[in-house]
Parts: sequence; structure tokens; C-alpha cells
Amino acid sequence: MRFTSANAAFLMLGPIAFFVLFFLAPFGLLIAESFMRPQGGVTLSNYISVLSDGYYWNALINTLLISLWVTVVSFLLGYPLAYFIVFHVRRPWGRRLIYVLLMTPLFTSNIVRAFGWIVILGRRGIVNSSLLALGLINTPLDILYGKLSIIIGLAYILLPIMALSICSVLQTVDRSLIEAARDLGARPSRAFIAVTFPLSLPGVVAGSIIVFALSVSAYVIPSILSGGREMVMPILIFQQYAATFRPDIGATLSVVLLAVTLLLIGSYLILFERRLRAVG
Amino acid sequence: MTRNLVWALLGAGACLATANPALAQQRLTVATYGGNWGEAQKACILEPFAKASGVQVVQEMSVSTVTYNKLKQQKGNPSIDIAWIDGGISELASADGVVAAIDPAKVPNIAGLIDEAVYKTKDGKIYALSTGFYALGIAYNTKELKEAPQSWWDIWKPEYSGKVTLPSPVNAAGLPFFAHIITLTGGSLDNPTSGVEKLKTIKVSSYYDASGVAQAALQSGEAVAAAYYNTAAWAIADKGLPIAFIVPKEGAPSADIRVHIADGTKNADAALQFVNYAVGDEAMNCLAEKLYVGPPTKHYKISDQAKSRMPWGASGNVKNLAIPNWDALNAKRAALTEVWNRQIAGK
Repeated sequence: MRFTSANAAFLMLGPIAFFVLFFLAPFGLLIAESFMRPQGGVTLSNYISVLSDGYYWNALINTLLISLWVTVVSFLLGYPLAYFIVFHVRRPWGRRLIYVLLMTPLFTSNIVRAFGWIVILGRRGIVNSSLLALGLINTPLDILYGKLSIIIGLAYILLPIMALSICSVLQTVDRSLIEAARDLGARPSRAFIAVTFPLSLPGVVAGSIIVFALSVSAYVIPSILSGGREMVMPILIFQQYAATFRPDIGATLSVVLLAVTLLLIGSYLILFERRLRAVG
Repeated sequence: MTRNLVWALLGAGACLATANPALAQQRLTVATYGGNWGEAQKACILEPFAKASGVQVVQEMSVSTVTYNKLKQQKGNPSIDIAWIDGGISELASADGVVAAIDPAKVPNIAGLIDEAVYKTKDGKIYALSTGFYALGIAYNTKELKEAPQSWWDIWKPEYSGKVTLPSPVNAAGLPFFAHIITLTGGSLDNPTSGVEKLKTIKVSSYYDASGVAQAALQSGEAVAAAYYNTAAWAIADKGLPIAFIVPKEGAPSADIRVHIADGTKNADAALQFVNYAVGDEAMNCLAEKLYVGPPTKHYKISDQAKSRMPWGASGNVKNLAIPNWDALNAKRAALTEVWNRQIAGK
């Protein structure tokens, strides 16, 4: 069978139907709802009341900042991890074992893992009791229930995704290029900065976009680890459905969150493409 | 061989048919709660009813707000026949017309219920029946605290500082708790300032969205006290943890779990029979024994341990419960949540 564009289009039917049925159609309903008055009739007032209110902007900025931190932390931990797996684990079975270990946390529920952090970060958790025992602190640190614990919880869950997407690109980096740099006198660090890292950037970009998007929309981890003391958009949206019964405001907040996230990811991609072209 | 099988099947079918000819082919979808609550409802009500009536009962575990939103989305053509929804949300469901009127002539067990358990619309039609009351009081760690709390204001004391967890508005108990504090401090739902100022002065460990999160906080020692349900607190105690529950002297805001028939159900007869079974003495004793919800029945028989764990305390009855004015509270949901978010949560 020749892989014609007709064949390709045919193969795309499934994914497109899935996307339309389970994302575009429900999201269309959500957009429609955001322009609706509770009593019926079309209105812009939901957007006006959301966009003119500093509280919602603060929640949005808080969400984006937390997600940015999660992305940075999972990059800082994920890159060395991926580098180690690809360049230092020579045996295929060793590599497979690490992949399995990396994936295992993804098989357990977010809720269970969030409860785990309560035990670790709490007043009497492992972190505080060790610091107290070492005499480094006198009273337990307030780590749990705040921005820090949300960032830790999310970065831990999303780290495998970042590491795996960097791995997949690092594996394809042509080793002879690195050897060439070394032959031409570059020290290992210079070879890394000038050759390996730039070539692995597509993996970093893909990983960071996925991690950022998942952090922005995360509900379970912030709900459990914020202790109700930090407001992020998913919690605010859930409140509209579960506490105040204002699905119209919930829909408006969802649309605003998606629009802002798309805008940010779009500009990030454009910036990255330009940089690549400039380098190339 | 095949013939024997056919006869056996026909025989079984005939038995079911004679047991209850009209209902045998019917199927009821029942939205219950999740976790151990859903299990208790299944064991006390759904399974015995299915056995006695021959009706096929399908359980759908859910939470009140989701069930309510589902009924609203499917108005007139519901996928659920029977819906358990908490007090507070139940009033909203009735106002939206998504639950059907229950004809007392077809539910004779209503005669065995206390007046507080029968909910009627303004024109006198029954829209919900209570299947058990619960109260939000103080759950506390009996090992960590030398003295048991007596009053809501006790959790403001220094020994509780930074070790208390309270329900957030996302939790069904959140707004009733907030409203209770507002009332106790002399404010009103229209002017909640006194309650806000009071709540600003308590140093909490956290505000919990889900009941399970409060449970984790109490179990790990992260919190030594919580504004929490009698039912959930005693469930932790049953696991052998040093947790007890008190009804504060200023009263415990209370609610109940109510059974409703979805408006537009295609199985109205079976649904009425189900509701009749659900509020019968046997089912209600069973549920009270398992969950420590206060029975809505006039004459109930439960163990001494269950009696000591009732929402109204060891000695008391439904009259001791502080049941919120739900219609007034529901009208202020958005406003109170906003005040909570902006002035209390992030302080």
C-alpha cells in the first residue's frame, strides 16, 4: 500500500472524530454557556465581571506562576536524569529498568501520592522531624499547605513526563557530532553547551509545554496540598459547579484560562522557532 | 441437558414473576454516595430491596452536587430514577423541578417517619424524605488534647493554634459552618462581617475540600481538631485511632441525606416501592448502625455504641440539631463563597 495523502487523511479520521466528539463539541457547549445568563439570553456580562475583577486575575497569575515553577523544577531534575539514562546507562536492560521505575509512579493515583506528601511535609513529617533532630530548626517549618507544597507535589508527578520527552530526543542526537566537538578541543562542558544541549532543545520544549499545560489544569494536587490557602484556577472553576452553582461563571473562567494558556504556549513556540532559525 | 437448562431458566423466571409480576422486568438506577457510605446504602437498602422485589437495581456512586447537576442536565429524561442528595442541595433540586412529588398513599412507611424527615414544597407536595441526619461538630484527638473541647470557641484557643482544619466552601459543610459562625457572632447572612472577623483570628492548619483530606490530617496528627461530621469522626475512631467527637454547646450545624425520585422517571411504580423500602424501619436501623446517621424514624432500635455516636449526642433527638435555613443560605451561596475566598482563605 502506498502511503498517499488520501490514505493519510483516512487514517486521521479516527483521531479527528475523537477530538471533535470529546473535546471540540463539549468545549463548544462550554463557550456557549459562558455567554449565557442564568435566566437565559445572551450576554457579555460574565466576561466583564470576570475580567474586571482583580481577584480573578490574581488567581490566574498565581496559577501560571505555580505552573512555571513546576516546569522549571521538573526541567532541572528531569534533564540530568534523562542525560544520565541516555549517556551513562550502557546496558539496554538497565535502561529498561530505569524507564519502568520512572513510569511506576504514573500507575498510582494522584490522590494517594498527594496524601503521601502530607505525611512527608507535615508538621511531624519526615522533613521536619529530621531537621528538628539535626538541630537545624527549633519549630517545624510551614512547608505543607502552600505554594511550595503544590509545586513539590506537581513537579514530582510530572517529572517522568519531562524526563521521558527529553530522553526521546537525546537518544537521537548524533554522537559523532559530540565526538567531533571533543576532537576539535572542546572540553566536555563546552561540548555539552555548544552541541548536545541545543540539539536536545526540541525535547525540552515539548516536555515543558506538556508539564506546563498539565500544571495549569491540575485540580487534585492543589486541592489537597494547598490546604485551602492558595487559590488556583481549577479550584475556582470547580467551586462554581460545586459550591455556588454558577456554571456560567465556571465556563467563563475555563475559557479565559484556556485562552491565556494557549496564548502563552503559542508565544513560547514562536520565540523558540525564531531562536532556532537564528542559530541555524 | 439443554432442555433441562431451559426448564430451569423458565422455572426461575416464573418464580420471579410470581414474586412480583408487575416489577419483575423493571430496572432502577439509583444514585447513591460513594465509598463506605455507598457500601452501607447498598447493604442496607439496595440489595435487600432488589431481593425482595425482583427489581434490577443498578447503583451509581456519586456525590450530591454531581447528582444534582446531572439531574439538571437531563431534566425531563433522567438516566437516574432514584437520587440521594444532601439537605441544602435537595432544596435546589426541588426548586429546579428535577425531583418528582412522592405520593404518601403509595409510600406507607412515611407514617413511621418524624415530621422533620418529610420535606414538602409550598403547595404541600412531598419532594424528599430523610434517610438520616448528621451533624458538624468538633472532632478532636483525645491523646493530644488534655481537655475535650466544649464550645466552638475552644478551637480558637492557643493549644489549637495551627492545628485545626475547617471545611472550605467546596465541601458541603463549608457554607453551613460559615453561616453558623456568622450567626453565633451576631451577624447575618446579609451582613457576615462579624463572622469574617472572627474567622480571621483563628490560626488553621488547613481548609479542607474533601472529607477524606480532613481524615488524613487528623490521622497524621497534622490537625488535632476539626470542624467535622459525627459520622466521619466516629468512623476514624472505629479504626482504633484516638479521635472523638463532641456536639459544641452552641449547637452543631446539621444536614441530612435525603432520597428523591427523579422527575420524569419511566419506572415510577418501582421507584415508589424503592423509596418505601428505603425509609422503612429495617433499612433505617441498618444505616444508622453502620454510618451513625441519626435515624429519621419515630421508633428506632440501634446498639448502645451507635446511640452514643448520634449527631445529637448520646442523649438527644432531632430537635437538638441546628438545621440551617437552607433557602436563605442557598440564596447567598455565591456571595458567601466570594467573601470566604477573598477575606478568609488567603489570609
